[in-house]
Amino acid sequence: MSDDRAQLREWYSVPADRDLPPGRHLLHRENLMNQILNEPSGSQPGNSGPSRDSHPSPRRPSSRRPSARGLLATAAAVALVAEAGVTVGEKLSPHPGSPAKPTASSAAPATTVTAVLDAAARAAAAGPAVKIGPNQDFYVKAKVTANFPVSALVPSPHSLLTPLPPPSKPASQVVQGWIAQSQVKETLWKVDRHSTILGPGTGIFVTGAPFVTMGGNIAGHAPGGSILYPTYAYLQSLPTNPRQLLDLIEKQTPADSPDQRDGALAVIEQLLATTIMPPQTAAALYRAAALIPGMTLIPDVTDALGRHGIGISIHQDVYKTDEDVWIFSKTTHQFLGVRERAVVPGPGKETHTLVSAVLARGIADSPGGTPTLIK
Amino acid sequence: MSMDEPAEQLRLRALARAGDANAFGELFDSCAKAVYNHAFRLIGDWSAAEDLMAQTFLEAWRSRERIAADGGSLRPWLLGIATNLARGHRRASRRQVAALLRLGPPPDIPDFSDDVTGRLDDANRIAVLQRSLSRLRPDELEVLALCAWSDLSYPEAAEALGVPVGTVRSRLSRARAKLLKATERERQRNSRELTTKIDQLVDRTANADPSCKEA
Repeated sequence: MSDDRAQLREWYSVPADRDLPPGRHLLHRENLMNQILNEPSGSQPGNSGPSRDSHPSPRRPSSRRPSARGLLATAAAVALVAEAGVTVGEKLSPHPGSPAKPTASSAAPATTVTAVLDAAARAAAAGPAVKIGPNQDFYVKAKVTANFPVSALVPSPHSLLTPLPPPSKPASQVVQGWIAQSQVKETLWKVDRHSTILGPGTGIFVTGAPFVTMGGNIAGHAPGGSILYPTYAYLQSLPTNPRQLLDLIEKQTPADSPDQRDGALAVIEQLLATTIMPPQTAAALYRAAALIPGMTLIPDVTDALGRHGIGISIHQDVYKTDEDVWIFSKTTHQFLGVRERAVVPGPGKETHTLVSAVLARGIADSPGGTPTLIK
Repeated sequence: MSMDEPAEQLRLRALARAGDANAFGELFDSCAKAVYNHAFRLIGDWSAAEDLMAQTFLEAWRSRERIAADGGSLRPWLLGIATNLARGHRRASRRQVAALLRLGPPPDIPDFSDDVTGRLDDANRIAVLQRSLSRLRPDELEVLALCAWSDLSYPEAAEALGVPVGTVRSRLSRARAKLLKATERERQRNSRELTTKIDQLVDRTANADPSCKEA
């Protein structure tokens, strides 16, 4: 039997075992020892599972990473920001443990989640067909009010999992993105005046567990485009039947995964956020989103500009403390922006919040180039 | 490998449980690399894997009272902690990656002297394999990672995950069924080499699972 395992391991030796970078073993060992030796003598180890509440942590390891959750919601926020520059409501629940339950039933629910998304779909379908070429950039400008520097959402050269700094006072920032529409071009992000250029080409392969964030050369992965690397032509070829479209999207996310709902939503958000879609595709996408269970309606939310809209609240499946809200105009039902809340696990239960409002969208011919704005 | 000596293991267990700092130092020396690599296989990012490794040992220290007096190597226990911590990472990064997908990844800048070519090759191989692995549920993949890559026995994997041995078996069994389907899919994609590999994996998984052999 161990023989079989050995064979399994051989075949799956992806990659071979690797040593820690030079010096890091000792460094981490030292950190661990410091942590242990500095612990007050009276302190007891946690008895109830992985206790995050009981460590005095005199010298926190430098690698304090605020959890996936913070990242996930905030990253999605950037996507949504990019998309429509949505704003998220001014009032993120101050009680991380008790997510604001947007009671759909309160206050004369003249609409439902399905109705709102259907109206958004109709608005999208009625919009002008603006074609974006593979050599062009999708431009977006948004006001973002967050209690952390938005620049922390841009991946660092070393890791996609850039930790967010601890929350502080909310501040407004202007975010501009020139998002490359092909895998061989660079993308530019500007947060206020600070620019970050993200290299072209290699791309990220997203299939979910277990190697979610692997960056690798995927050139030739999908020459004709795929749901994750769509060309305009590819998007035009997608089914406009919402159920068929959702099926197609879900095929790209891990089957039977408890996270599948979030996976499909993430793909939808990504599409909405980073490209310009044919009107019929955009419409189908909103209707496909409506087929995903578990959303609730918030009758009134405001974006970063103070615009009032209708919110669709998407609680994260697993971590109920996190919440994304898509905001739509009450009159035109256009996508306005997003509100995000993510709780950092740990003793402080810190909450990262973000509210955005899209100021402009457009098409540019080069990163940093003057965009032609669209409605 | 002193880690394999039963008496040595019992000694380490007792000391670690009692909060002996040197025992944790020893544990770190013998298991840091295993935890680091296991973490990478679960989250696919070396830098994050390093953080997760450090977190794992801190978490181990904090929950040292849960170490059973009897047993073998503490490696399964540590890998179990790492697996739990990785769940959060995987989740986060999936969302994040989806959102940032179109931005392209950051340039692959080696932050220490490293074989960049080897790194990209690893990434490529994983990218190909993960297409078939993506059909698995996280808990099935965890079992696969623990048993196939970290070479734990079924009882050890069960201990690491805090589930019955039968659950380990059934997850492996489900994983096999799904990989079988993935073979078909990859065949349609005309990827000869990968199809062969998945075929092999399905065979191996079947062989590695005694309950399936009987069936």
